[in-house]
Amino acid sequence: MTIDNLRSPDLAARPATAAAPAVTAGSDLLRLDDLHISVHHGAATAIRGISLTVQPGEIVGLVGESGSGKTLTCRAALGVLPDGCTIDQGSLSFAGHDLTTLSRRGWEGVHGRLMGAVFQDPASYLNPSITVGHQLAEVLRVKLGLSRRAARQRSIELFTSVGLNHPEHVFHQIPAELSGGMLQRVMIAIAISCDPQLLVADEATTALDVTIQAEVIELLRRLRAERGLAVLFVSHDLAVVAELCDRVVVFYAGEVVESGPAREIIERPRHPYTQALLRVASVGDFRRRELQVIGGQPPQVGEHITGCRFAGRCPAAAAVCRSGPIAPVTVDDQHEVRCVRAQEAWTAGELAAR
Amino acid sequence: MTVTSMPRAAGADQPRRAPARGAAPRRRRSRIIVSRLGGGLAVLVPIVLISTFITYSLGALSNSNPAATILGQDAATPAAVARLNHALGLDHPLIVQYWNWLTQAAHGNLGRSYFTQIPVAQSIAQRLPVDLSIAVLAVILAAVIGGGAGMIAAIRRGGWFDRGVTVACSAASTLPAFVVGIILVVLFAVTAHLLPANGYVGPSTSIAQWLAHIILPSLALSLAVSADIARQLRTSLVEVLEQNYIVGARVRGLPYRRILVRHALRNAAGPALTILGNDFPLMLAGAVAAEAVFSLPGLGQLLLQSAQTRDIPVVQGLLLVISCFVIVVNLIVNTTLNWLYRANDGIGT
Repeated sequence: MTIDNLRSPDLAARPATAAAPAVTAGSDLLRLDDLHISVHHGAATAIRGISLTVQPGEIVGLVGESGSGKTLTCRAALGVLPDGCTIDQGSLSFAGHDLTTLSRRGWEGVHGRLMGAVFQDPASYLNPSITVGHQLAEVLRVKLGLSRRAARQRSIELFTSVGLNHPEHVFHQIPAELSGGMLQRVMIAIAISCDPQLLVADEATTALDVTIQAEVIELLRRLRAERGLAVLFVSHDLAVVAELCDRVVVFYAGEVVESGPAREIIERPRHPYTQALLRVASVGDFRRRELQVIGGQPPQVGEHITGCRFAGRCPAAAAVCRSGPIAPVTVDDQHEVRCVRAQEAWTAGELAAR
Repeated sequence: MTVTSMPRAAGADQPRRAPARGAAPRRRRSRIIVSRLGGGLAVLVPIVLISTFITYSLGALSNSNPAATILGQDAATPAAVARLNHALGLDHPLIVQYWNWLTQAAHGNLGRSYFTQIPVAQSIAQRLPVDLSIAVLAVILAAVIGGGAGMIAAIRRGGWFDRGVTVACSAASTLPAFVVGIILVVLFAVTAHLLPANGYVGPSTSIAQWLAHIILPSLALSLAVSADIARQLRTSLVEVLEQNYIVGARVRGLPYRRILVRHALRNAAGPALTILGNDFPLMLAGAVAAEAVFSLPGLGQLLLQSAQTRDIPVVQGLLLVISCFVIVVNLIVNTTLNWLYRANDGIGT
């Protein structure tokens, strides 16, 4: 059974209350424009001018180390920023409709039907005292108006389609009775239950062991192929991103330092930070045997830095790097780098020798 | 995938895969609740035995001489006392007396008052509806007032309502029921003439009159419990609202009100429910004072009188009924908690 069978005709009727965009070909599905987010009630700016887009049916990878703002960006895109975090500047839109000032009720229409989400720790994102089947059926009944019986049947079909064995049995189990991989499949089933156009996967495979991780990635790929689902895939694992994503956006200290097609980024990284990440991850030409680390610490959130935020850890930092803000440079088609030396054509071999 | 056969739904109109009804875990869940309920009932029996035995012993150890008291000072010759003791069965060893009482109680016969000769079961049955009405209404009021205040305080945490609830809770929990009762009588009965100040009318006479007579004592009893519930619910609800699964429910696009009730309140209700169960005996104790304030013909006054006159059969019967109520209420609370928190069933049970 393919997932397409699950599309019900009533899904075509999107809610009128929410921004109900008809996606036109070629337009951006998700668009973040110069987004600034402050944390701790405005005490510090954690995200400074993030711009990124996700096209319909595209899988975009967000990489960067812990604290670089990947998750905060996801939460902003989903409209569920933690307490004390606010969007200070910039805009957020979905298929051309502004979401920056959307009301809570407006978001209720967007969530599920336009955007779904899965997270790193699926057990904590499911209600521990309600059966997983009930949690999926609840969404189907509330969002799609299905009857109890129809919702139950659709839930079991969805559980089957995300690769859960014995879906009738799983339906009656609570999260504590399922493994991490099974829970992530349940989360994916819930996230795609109302046929959204975009799935935000925040570190969705990080906590899973390697074989389950591969299966979940395969599932995401299949969902894209079968229903044109776009995915914003957050990970700090470059190997996974390289395997799955069409485009990659590299985060460092609340900024995008490099973005472009996945193949281009993996094979010809221009930013020293991306190069360092690849070296650490042992991806592409940077295969090494010994454990690699990036020296130094990323700047503290809110720390004031003139110029390149990576300069303190960069092996090639020069005076010009610290003198003023670095503008992103387009080095190739769609390949943008925020580095003064972006134009220098470094080969992987040269870098490895550094 | 296993599809269990389903004879009833095997018609031609069924889709190719009929939903398998009654899968194992659902059945298992109800079985767990039934077994807990059975376990609770099994605990009830020894608790009743122990508590009644203790009170029985206390009655005997209190060095009272019921026969002498009944006969009065003039008639209490040693021979007459011995005769009456024999008639009352008080010449047997304590354990035998207790056994006799217990076997009679098991048949619904709680004996007769030493002084009035009225059957204990009868006087309890007369007065029980008064206390039951007040206690049940007080529980409902506590759940509504305390629950509502705690919930709104948690949702608007840090706001003026939240702070107001905190102050009001501290004030309310320091006031004993009889003080609150007197204040309420002054406010609603003496000053505003809205409600009767005292007395009791049974629901069979007039529902409206019944409610008018029990609302003030119930309110007086429920206030301190409301305060406890509001504080507990606020704390646990604030904690639950910060959990990831609330964010999880939001990104599924569920309406906020539904998330609040079905996901947050359900998981936060536990401590408040426990409080309600724990405070129920306090409500019964408070009923004694409330009955005095509102001149209600309730169990509390009967208990007080019979304890003062050492009317042991009445005290004993009352304690049996009260301890049964406390245990049943706790059983209900525990079963509800069990139903709310599936996670506590454990894995692989």
